[in-house]
Amino acid sequence: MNDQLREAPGAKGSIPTLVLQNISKAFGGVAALTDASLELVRGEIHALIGENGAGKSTLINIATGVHRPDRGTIRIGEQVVHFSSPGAAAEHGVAVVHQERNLVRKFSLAENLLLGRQPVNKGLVSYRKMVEDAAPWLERVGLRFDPRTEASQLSPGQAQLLEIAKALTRRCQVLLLDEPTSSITDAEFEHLVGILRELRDSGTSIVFVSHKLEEVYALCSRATVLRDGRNVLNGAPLSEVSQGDIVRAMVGRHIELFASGGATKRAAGPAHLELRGVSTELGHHGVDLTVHRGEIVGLYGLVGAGRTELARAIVGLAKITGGELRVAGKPAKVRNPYDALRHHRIGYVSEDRKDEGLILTHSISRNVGMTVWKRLEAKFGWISETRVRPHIAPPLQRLDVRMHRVSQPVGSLSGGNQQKVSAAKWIAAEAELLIFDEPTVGIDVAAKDAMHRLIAELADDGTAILLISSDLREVVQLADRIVVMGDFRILDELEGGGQYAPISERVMQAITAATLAAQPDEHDAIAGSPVH
Amino acid sequence: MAASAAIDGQLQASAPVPRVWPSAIERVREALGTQTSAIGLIFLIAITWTAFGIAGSGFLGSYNLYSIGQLAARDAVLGMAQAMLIVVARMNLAVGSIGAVCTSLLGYLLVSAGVPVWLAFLLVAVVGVLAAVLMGVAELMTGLSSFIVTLAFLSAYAGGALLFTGGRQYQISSSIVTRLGNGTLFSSAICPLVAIAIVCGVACWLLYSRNSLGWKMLAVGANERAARASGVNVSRVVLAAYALSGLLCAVATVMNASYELNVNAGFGSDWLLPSFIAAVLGGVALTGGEISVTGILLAALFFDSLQSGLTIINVPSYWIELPEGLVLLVAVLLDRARRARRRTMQPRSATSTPEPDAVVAQ
Repeated sequence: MNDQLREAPGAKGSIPTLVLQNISKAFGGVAALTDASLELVRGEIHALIGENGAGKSTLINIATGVHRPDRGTIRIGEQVVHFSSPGAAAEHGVAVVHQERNLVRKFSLAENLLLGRQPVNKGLVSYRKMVEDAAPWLERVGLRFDPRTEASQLSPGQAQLLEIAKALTRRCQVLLLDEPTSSITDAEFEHLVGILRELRDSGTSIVFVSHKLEEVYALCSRATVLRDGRNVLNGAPLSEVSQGDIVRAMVGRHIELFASGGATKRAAGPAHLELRGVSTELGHHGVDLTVHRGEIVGLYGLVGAGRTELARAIVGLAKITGGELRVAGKPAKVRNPYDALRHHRIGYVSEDRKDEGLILTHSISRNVGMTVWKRLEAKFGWISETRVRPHIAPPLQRLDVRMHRVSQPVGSLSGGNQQKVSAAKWIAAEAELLIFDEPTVGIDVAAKDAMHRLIAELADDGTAILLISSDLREVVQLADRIVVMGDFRILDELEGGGQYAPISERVMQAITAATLAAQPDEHDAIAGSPVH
Repeated sequence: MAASAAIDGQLQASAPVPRVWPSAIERVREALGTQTSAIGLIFLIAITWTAFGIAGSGFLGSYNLYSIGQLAARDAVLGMAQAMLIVVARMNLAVGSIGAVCTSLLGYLLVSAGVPVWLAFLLVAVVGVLAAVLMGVAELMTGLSSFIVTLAFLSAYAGGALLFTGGRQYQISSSIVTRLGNGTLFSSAICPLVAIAIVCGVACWLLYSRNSLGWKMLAVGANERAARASGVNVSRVVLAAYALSGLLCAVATVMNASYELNVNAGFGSDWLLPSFIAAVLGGVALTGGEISVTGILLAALFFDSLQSGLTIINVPSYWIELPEGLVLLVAVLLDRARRARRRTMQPRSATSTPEPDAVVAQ
C-alpha cells in the first residue's frame, strides 16, 4: 500500500483526501458492496473501473452522500465524516458529475452554473451579477460562450464541461466523474483531458470512471477495480498493471479480446440495401448508401451527423421524402418497423436501449420474443411461452446472457446483458439486414467484446450489417467499408480493415473539410482545434 | 507482479448456472406470486362480509348476496372494458356513453322493432365495437391523448343516445333477457350474470396469457416506442384494444338491461367510477403494461359488497358516494406503493441509475 502511494505520480507528499475504507452496502438483502475501498490522495487522477453492476455507482453514491454505507468509514484527510445527504458531501468539497446530464436545457449557462445559489440583491436575483460571476468559471473550463446562451445550444461534450464548471463553483477538492466520455468526440476528449490535468495540478483529486481503457491509461495514474462489489485492485499504479490485467481483474477470467477487420476479408454478396439519392423529412439530402449481404458497413460521424436519423428512416420510423430505397434488389416502401421486419427482414438495434430498445419492466422472454410472435402464432393469435422458447433460447445462449430466469424483468439485468437482450431479439427474428446503432455505448469490456464477435459472426453468415458508431476504433476494427457522415450528407467512403492512424486521419479530414465549408465559425466555440 | 497475483487470488470458479427456464410448476408459482393484489382483495372481502354480516341484518342472506352478485358481475365486466385500454396505457372515459348508445339500441330493437333477441345482441355488440373503434381512429389520427378523445366522445355519444330515443323508456319483456338478469344459477343466491362475468374473465385471461394480441397489448402499454421499434404494429394493437373495450361495454349493457328491464338513454352515466375502481383496485397498473383479471373480478365483488353493506346498515345514499371515491383513491395509492416496492426489489437497476437527489447537492 505504502509503495503504491509513494510511486503515484502527482501525489504531493501523498496527502490523503477522500478515503472510503471497507465499505459494505446491501439493497434489499443483495450485497452491492463488500469491504470496498477507494483511497484518494491530493492531486491525482484515479481510475475507478468495473463492469456494469460491479458497484461503481453505489460507491460513488456513498462518496457523495446519496446512500449511507452499512459498514465502513469515510474520511476526509484525517477526519472521519458521515455524509447525511448530498449537501453534506458537497460541504466537504466532494462533487460529482453524473453520466446523465442534469442541465436545465431552457436555462442559460449562467443560470445552470449557479442554480440554487444565484446572487441576490434585495430579494431579487441579480441577473447581471450572475452573468458576471459565471464568466470566469466558463473561461476556466474553456467554454467560450456568452453566459447568457441557452444550455440547449451545447454539444454533449460542452455540456459535460459545464457540469464540471458547476462542480468547480462549489470549490470542490474531490471531483467524481461518472463516465464523462461516453458521448463525446475525440477532440472534446482531448480538451477535457487538458482541463482535468490542470485541475489535478492545482491540487484537486479526480475520480475517473470509464469503460475505455485507452482513456484510463492516457489520463490516470492509479486504478481501483471493483468486481461483484469487492476490490480486485485498490489504487494500483497503472505503470505496473497491463491493460490485459485490468480486463482480467474486471471480468474475473481471462478473455482474448476480439480482433478482426482487415485480417479476415469477407467476400461480400450481392447488394442488399441500396439508398439512391434518398432525402428524408429529418433533413437528409441525396444520400447514396449500399450494404451488401455479408458485409459490415460502418457509418461514422460526430454526434448530430444524422446517422441515427438515417437508420430511423430506413426502418420506417421517419419518412423518406425523395430518392429510392431498394431491399434485395427491389424497390421497397417501409412505412413502419412492422413493414421493415415483416416484409423486408430489417432489424434495428436502437441506441436508446432503455426507452426504445427494451421494455425494462417486462421479462427477458417477452422482450426477445416480440419480433417472432407474429411468425409463431397459431390461428387467431394463440401462442404460448413453450411455443416461443425454441426460437429465443438459441440467441440468448449465443450471446451468453447472464440471467437467473427468462421470466425476470430485463431492467434487473446489467447494462451489458440488457444490450445483449436488445440484440438477441433481432437474431431471433432472423433479420437479413441489421442496423446496430451505438451497440457498445456504456457497456463493459466483456459485453462489448461479445457484441463485436456477434456482429462479425453475423456478417460471416451472410447478414448485411450497418454499424453506426461514434467509436472510430470500433468502426475500423469491424467494418469492411467505412462511410463518413456529416450534416445529414455522406462525406466520404473508404475501405475498412486498415491501420487505425491513416483511416482516422482521412475520416477527420473529411469531417473538418465539410464543417469548415458549411459553418466556418460555429466550431470555434470550444477551445482548441477540432482535430487532433 | 504483485498486482497480477492479487488478481489471480480474486479469480473464483464461476457460480453454477441456475435453471433459466422455469418448469411448469415454477411458472404457476411465479404467476401466483404476481397475484398479491388478488390475495389482498380476498382478505378485504372476507373482512367486509364478516363485518357487515355481524352489523347488518340480512347481509349474508341469499337475497342480498344475489343482488351483490348481479351488480358485481356487471362492474367486473366494466372493469375489464376499462382495463383493455388501461393496459395499452390509455383510458376509456366513454364506457358509460357507449353503454347509453348500446342500451338505447337494445331497447329500440327489442321493444320498438321487435327484432329477435340473438340478432339484437349481435347488433348491440357490433355498435359497441364500432363506437369504440371510432374513438381509436380519432385518437390515432389526431395524436391527442385518449383522455381528451374519449372525453369528447363521452358527451357526443351520451347526447346522440338521447337524441335517438327522444328520452323514451323501453320496457323489455323478452323472457331470455329477463331470465338472464333475474333467474338463478345453481342456488338462489347466484345470478346467471355471475357466469357471464366469469366467462368474460376467462376470455380476458386467455387473451393476456395465451394470445399474441394480448402480449402485444401489454408490450405497447409498457413501452410503446420499444414495441413499435420491435416491429409491433402499434396502430392495429391500439385499435384492437378499443374494439375489445367497446365489446365489453356492449356485454355490460346487456347485463345491466337484463336486470333493470325498464331502460332509457340515461343508463351508463354512473359507470365510469366502478369501471376504474374494479380495474385499478384489481391491480391493473395505471401506467399500462400489466393486468390482473382475477383482481378485477375480486375488486368488483369487494366494491359492491361494501356498497351493499353500507346500504344495509342504513348509511344515507348521499353518503355512500364518499366511500366510493375513497376506495378509488386508496386503489391508486396502492398501485403506486406496489410500483415503488417493486423498484426497491431490483437493487441492480436501482444502483446503476443515480437518484435525482444526487444532483441537488447544495
